Amino acid sequence: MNHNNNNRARYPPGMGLGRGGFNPNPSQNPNLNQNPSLNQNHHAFQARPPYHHQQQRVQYVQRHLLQQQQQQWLRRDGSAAVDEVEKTVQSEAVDSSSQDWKARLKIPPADTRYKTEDVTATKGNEFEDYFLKRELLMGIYEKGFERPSPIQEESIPIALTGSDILARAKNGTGKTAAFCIPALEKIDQDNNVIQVVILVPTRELALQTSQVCKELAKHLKIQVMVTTGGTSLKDDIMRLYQPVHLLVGTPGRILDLAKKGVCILKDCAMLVMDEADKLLSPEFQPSIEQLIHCLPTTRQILMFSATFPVTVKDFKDRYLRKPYVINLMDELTLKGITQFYAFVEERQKVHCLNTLFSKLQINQSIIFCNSVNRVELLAKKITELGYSCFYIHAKMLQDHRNRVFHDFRNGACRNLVCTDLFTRGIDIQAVNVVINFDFPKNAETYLHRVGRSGRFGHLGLAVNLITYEDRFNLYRIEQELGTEIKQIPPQIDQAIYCR
Amino acid sequence: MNLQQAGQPKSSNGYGHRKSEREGATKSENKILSGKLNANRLANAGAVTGSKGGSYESPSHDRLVYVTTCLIGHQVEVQVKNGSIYSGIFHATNTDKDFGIILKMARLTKDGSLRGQKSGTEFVSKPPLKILIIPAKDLVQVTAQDVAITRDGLANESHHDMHQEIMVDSLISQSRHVDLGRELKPWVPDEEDPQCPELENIFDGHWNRGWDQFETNEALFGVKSTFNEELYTTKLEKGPQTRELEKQALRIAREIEGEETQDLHLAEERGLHLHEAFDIDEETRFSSVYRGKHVDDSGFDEDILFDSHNSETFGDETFGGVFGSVVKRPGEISGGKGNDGARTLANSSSMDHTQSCQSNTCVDLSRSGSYDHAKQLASELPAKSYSTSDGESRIQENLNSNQHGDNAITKEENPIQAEEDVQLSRSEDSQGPLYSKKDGSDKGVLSPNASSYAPSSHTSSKTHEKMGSHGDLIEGSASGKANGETKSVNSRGIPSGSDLVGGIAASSVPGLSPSSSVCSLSSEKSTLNPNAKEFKLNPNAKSFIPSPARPPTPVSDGSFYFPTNVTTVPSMPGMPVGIGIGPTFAGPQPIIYNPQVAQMPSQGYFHPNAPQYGQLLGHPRQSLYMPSYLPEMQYKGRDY
Repeated sequence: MNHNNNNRARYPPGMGLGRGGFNPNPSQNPNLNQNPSLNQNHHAFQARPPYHHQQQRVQYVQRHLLQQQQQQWLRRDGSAAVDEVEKTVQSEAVDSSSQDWKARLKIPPADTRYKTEDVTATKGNEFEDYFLKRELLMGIYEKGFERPSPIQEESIPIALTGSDILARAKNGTGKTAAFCIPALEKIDQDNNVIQVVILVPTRELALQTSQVCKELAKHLKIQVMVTTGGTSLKDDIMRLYQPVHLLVGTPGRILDLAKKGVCILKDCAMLVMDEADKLLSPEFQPSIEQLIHCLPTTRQILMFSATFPVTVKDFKDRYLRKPYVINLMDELTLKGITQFYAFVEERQKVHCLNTLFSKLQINQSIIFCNSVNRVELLAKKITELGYSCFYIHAKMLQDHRNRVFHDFRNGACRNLVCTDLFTRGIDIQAVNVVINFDFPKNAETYLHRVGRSGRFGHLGLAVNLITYEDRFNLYRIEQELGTEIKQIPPQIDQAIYCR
Repeated sequence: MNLQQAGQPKSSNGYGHRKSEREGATKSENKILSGKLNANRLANAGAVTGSKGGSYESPSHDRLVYVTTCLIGHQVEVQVKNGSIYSGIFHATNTDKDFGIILKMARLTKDGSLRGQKSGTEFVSKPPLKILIIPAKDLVQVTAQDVAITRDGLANESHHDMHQEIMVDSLISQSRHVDLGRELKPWVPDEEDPQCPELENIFDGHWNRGWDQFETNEALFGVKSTFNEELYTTKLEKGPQTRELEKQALRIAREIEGEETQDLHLAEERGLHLHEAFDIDEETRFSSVYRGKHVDDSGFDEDILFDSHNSETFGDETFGGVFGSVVKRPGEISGGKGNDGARTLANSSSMDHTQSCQSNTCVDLSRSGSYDHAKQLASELPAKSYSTSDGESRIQENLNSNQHGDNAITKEENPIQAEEDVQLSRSEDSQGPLYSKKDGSDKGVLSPNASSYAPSSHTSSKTHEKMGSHGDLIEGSASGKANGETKSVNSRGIPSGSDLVGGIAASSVPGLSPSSSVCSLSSEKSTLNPNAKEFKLNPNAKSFIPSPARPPTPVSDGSFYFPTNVTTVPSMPGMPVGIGIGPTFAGPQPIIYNPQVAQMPSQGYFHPNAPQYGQLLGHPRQSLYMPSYLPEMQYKGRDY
């Protein structure tokens, strides 16, 4: 733990929209922010008629560049001549228009919080090194991404070549962007067919992934659709009658639509499996395998997760063709998260939680319980104690689930009580405290729960309320993860989770 | 012919002297151990087990075991006491109370016992030994280069493999050792915040379905929802032009929702709730991954493999020697040559089975402890280079610890025990690999050799009679013992030129000349024949006190080293003093000259011995060999 960092700027509570960046006005609709920008652009265009000719020239260069890039990606083995022309064109484009398009970016304020080596131990690449489309680069920078994280450095170039990938990286280190950026780059926006499918195990994760894709593709004309259970099937079918380039969803819903011919996958060249080990568990694997058979034989499969049990090897051998295996984990747990246990009796848990609320400096917190009933009762009690608190579990109406998901991620509420519905993949940058009110039974559940804090290399705190019956699970999980969970001290230094 | 004749007297002299040492050792051992320990197999095994248990408790011993385990498979250079240096592959260690090592493909790179360029050149050009056993008392230093023994070094190696293969969770976490069952300290509420009765038992009541989190949060904290589905998915176009599509979509939707399925995920996505019927909790639904009955990430399979491997190793080390000698006896009794080979193989298999059964219990206990120690070592070892020469001093600490721990045994007796263990383990270690490597023809050669000595029991009795006589002389002369020790060291440092000869030497006593195996085999013969045993003991009543139960041959071999240890122990106090070194160095000076002269003829003796040994298959040659043996013995007596 690096204590020499003098920068103790505290991240304001309620901030956190997507990865690596935040929206200064969370309560407002982000679309509304774009209206003044559009007006401004229009005004600038009208005010400066002499630049009309330059605009046309830039468009010509852009179109030429797109054709070159398309050719390069379609052919895995590019000739040297094409590469040379590519460099020339790229250099020309940068020379003529780099100042213009970079100056027009709406980059959010830089995140000055401390980041651990989990995301800073890179080779020093920039997003521009991958010869991405300019509009995609604009989307990347305007979302707050500054430079690639280690998993993005490793996987983006390989994904662009068309290879299958089996990649594992720690929680919150940029895996979603690692597959969304290549997916958006390879989509031909003039071809109105589904070209990429992204599979995720939960509906909330589907919403989140879809939003990341839409924000990155802000300047592209790519239609991103999400389809999961719980929403109107009729509405989703209606949406599929319109152009869709990228489809995000859960396996069961997409399979049902594919079987009925509503969702046509014969032109889908890329399949992404996020949280791949969960997607290969017994309840998902039959749907996954049927979906793969709906794809063309030339499909590319990308698999990402933070945990990979041995059962993944069988699937990898059967469906992935010479996959590029990326493993960036020499340990399972995040470097920035400090873990404590509080050995309590069952009747002391709420008292202990109340003490934690009064002592800890919480930006946003997620509190995990093991049953639906306990989630609702605990959320009600926390609200009565005077803390704003939402709850979410799988038995709620989908409309309510969506509302809680959206509002909590935008900082409308400070605390969230949930079941393991929120254990995997949920990315909320402002969450710096995770409390296991009920202790999990499995090591990967513990790993994913704790990974809800410390997003993108930031610092985080995990507190586990352990009862007498939980202690053997504690020992086993410590051993399986190779980590150490210490007793919680009376006072916790804020520098270990708030910097 | 003349050279050969001159060489024989020296060889027989050395042989006879060594035999006398053994006889004396037997007598002394009987006096010391009589009434305290049963001189049988069971008691001996118990003693060995006790020693192992004691040594496992020493932290420095654990570190030594760890470092030597890291050296296994690596090229090392070993320096022995006489200054010779061997280079070879580190194969195994004997860590039972002492520290001997075994090298494979060992080559003598520097000969400290010989002087002169010519002799050195001859030794260097010899082929490497397939197996070289270096006992602890000869071991000075082990040198190895570029061997990773620290956790960081090992981790770096595994990191390279990381990009080649998918790493499952158990490999990454490396099942780090956690203190299972450690005491958890209870959480204590702050003094300023005493017990709050209103915070207890909130889960006992029933859930009030009327509570609306959105209304409550809006009322209390002003929270308002801003959810808009267009932030997450495509915009839904509606209007008159899409009415037909809407009807079609509704029809398809009803078809999908109306289908039956047992797939939990498909059912959930269609709006059915099968999870409630199966009572599956949400951790199982959304987070954990079911692995099935036979898949285990915790590394349990590795433990099984580890135990199996150790079972084989442990079995060989403990019982190989004993059953190896047992295998010989049926061969001797058998008649035909072909049957000898077949029966020997059959007996060997049978013995292996018995061996495994007997060692089952011991394996579990000792290997389990060893495994635990290995785990601790991996985490405790400091990150710095480790020299095995330090291990030698630590071995001394272990010896002292043993002496202090065991009050029943005197100081003099403890070295005897250590020596016996070394001797026993040495024989056992060398015998297993040799037997497994020899082909049928080799075994065929050995069996006739054994049977050819069966009719010579009478000669054997005479030999023992003379040995008893010389034993008396040894007891009265300290300088005589010193000479014996010096010769022993010199002869042990000479590598054998022939695998066959080396094999024979290794199977009985390493470093001894092939002639000594004659007596060894004869001893076994006498133990098999009750009549011969009674006959042999009775005439020698004058020389030593007979023991009602004779110990097994391997133990008996170890006991012959007693005089050497007796000589060594008094010398130890003198070593720290500088004055003592002078006389010791000057004393052996003229003696070293004699062994040097003896060794040259000794080598010559080997060359004619090979064809003569082959000729032993014929009956007439045997008679020729024996008459020439007896006169040499007489010559040795006169010289002494």
